[in-house]
Amino acid sequence: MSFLELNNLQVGYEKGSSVLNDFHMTAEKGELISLLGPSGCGKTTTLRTIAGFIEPTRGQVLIHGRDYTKTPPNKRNIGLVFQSYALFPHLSIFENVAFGLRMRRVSSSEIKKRVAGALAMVDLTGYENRLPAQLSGGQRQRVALARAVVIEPDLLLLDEPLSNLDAKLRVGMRAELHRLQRQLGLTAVYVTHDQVEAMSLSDRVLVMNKGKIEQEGKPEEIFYRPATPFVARFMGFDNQFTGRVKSIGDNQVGIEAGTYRLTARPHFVPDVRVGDSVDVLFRPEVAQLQRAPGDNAVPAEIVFRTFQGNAGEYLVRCALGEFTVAVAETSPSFAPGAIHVHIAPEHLIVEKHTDE
Amino acid sequence: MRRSPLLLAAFIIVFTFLLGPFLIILIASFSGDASMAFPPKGFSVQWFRKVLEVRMFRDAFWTSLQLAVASTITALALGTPVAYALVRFHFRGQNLVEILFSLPAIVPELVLGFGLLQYFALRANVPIFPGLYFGHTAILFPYAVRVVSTSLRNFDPAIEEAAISLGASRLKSFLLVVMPNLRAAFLAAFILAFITSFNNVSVSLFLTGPGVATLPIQMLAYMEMYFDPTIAALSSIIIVITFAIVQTAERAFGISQHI
Repeated sequence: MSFLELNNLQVGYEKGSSVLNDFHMTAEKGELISLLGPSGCGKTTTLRTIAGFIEPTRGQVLIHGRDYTKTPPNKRNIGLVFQSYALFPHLSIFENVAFGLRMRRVSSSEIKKRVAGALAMVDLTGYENRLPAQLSGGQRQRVALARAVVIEPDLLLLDEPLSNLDAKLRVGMRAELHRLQRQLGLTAVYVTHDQVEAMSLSDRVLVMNKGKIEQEGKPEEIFYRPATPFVARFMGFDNQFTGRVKSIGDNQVGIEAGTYRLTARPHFVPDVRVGDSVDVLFRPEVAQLQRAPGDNAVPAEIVFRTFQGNAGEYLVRCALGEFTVAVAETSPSFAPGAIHVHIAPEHLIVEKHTDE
Repeated sequence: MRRSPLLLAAFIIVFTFLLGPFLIILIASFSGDASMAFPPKGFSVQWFRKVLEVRMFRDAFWTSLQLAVASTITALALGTPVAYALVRFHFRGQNLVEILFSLPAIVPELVLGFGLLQYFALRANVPIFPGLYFGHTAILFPYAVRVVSTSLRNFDPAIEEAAISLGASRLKSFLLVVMPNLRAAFLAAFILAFITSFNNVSVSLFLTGPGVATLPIQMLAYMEMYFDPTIAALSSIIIVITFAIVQTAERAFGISQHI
């Protein structure tokens, strides 16, 4: 049995429309699971159901084998971290962190010890007497983290905790979060719409769409082998063209697209047959620009180029459509005009054609 | 910004009509003459002294003060949970409830006063002060609900949920986390309701009776008999005290953002 189990969960806000339907999810002890998806996919609803703020119309929430489905949120021993930090504005940092311990009637000497420990853990020793308004965003989120873990929760739930921080801080906080979760051996559920965040933090990622799990797996699996068109697009397979399957081999699929013959990875092959119309997808980073024609290359024309600091991006147009191609800044630059776009077979994925 | 003479004229007119009456009353209350006149003849502070000496004003002041404090506290105590329910929960018939609770603020006060008279004094035979108390609580209630719910709406619900997830019950999280952060809003609601009650004429008019009168009603009664500057002096005192209270509260808590 898993440490956290959501069984057959159904959550509906209004009659008829349900946010989650027959939802299953598990987490092992000490694991960090990400719920990844666009807004409205049901990831926050899932989190709030685990926390107890939403009561499911059907199904069970099991933590450590105990049925928590009907337990009110204040009796669940779950640590919560919010996007808005949600610190108590009128209380000092010390009292913010001590709040959960006071609710548990921990003795004041013990509170002092544990709050000091928690603040040291997030590197905020010396900030005890400040008010939340006197702290920076990153510091506030560290207080929120300390406040959530000081109660030694069975489960740590994080709802887009880094979304309010600027890009540089986000990377630092990500590392800190990761270290803390490992160090304390906490089981955590992490809600995010940011695939990079999910990739770098999680043991397992659940990609959600419209209240359902599209794919569940290790970050590498999700990143390199998206199981559905939705996941592929969400994971950055931004370029797409249509083609027809010509042959299916053990290690590759032959594709005819327009007048071109290309080879692709057979990843989605199980539900694709020879002669089927398919979508072929690839990431902007894996395409290469070259002057000479070659295998798996399509003649194209550079429309324009944007500079993005450490990388450049080209917009190219060819007979198959418009693609974006990302290149490292150190690579030779190409003048507008004729070019060839090469994509290695292992980077081309094939899926059944949809009219989306 | 370029000053347009038209804008300046509008400015002067508005201020004349807003502040002019207050100024006239303030000046008239220092009159040396026994009848109200403007500009006053002579200068004296005798009318202020008289205000303090007249028994009926003192009694009416205490009645008004007690009434305002009691009905304000009651309206806030009843209005806060209602505001909380309206903001935090969604239930069927919510709009209807919202309209129902704001009725006393929409219905003309004279109609409300007459209704309350019918109900309390004539049917239920409620004594005068309790009748006033119920009547004032009814007119203050919508203000309390409005001010408290406005500031509750601006209060991040995640903060409350954080408290709950840390082990606080909903009531505890409200008392320990929400209330302390809505202090300014409560103060604003208190002052607004207090002043509304203290100045109310239309509802009190129906509900006062022998021996019990609020200050505004007593002032009306006094003016029917005498026309000396005592009323002006009393009005000046009320204006100055009201202004002082509002100003102090604004300085200390910035209450105007909650009204």
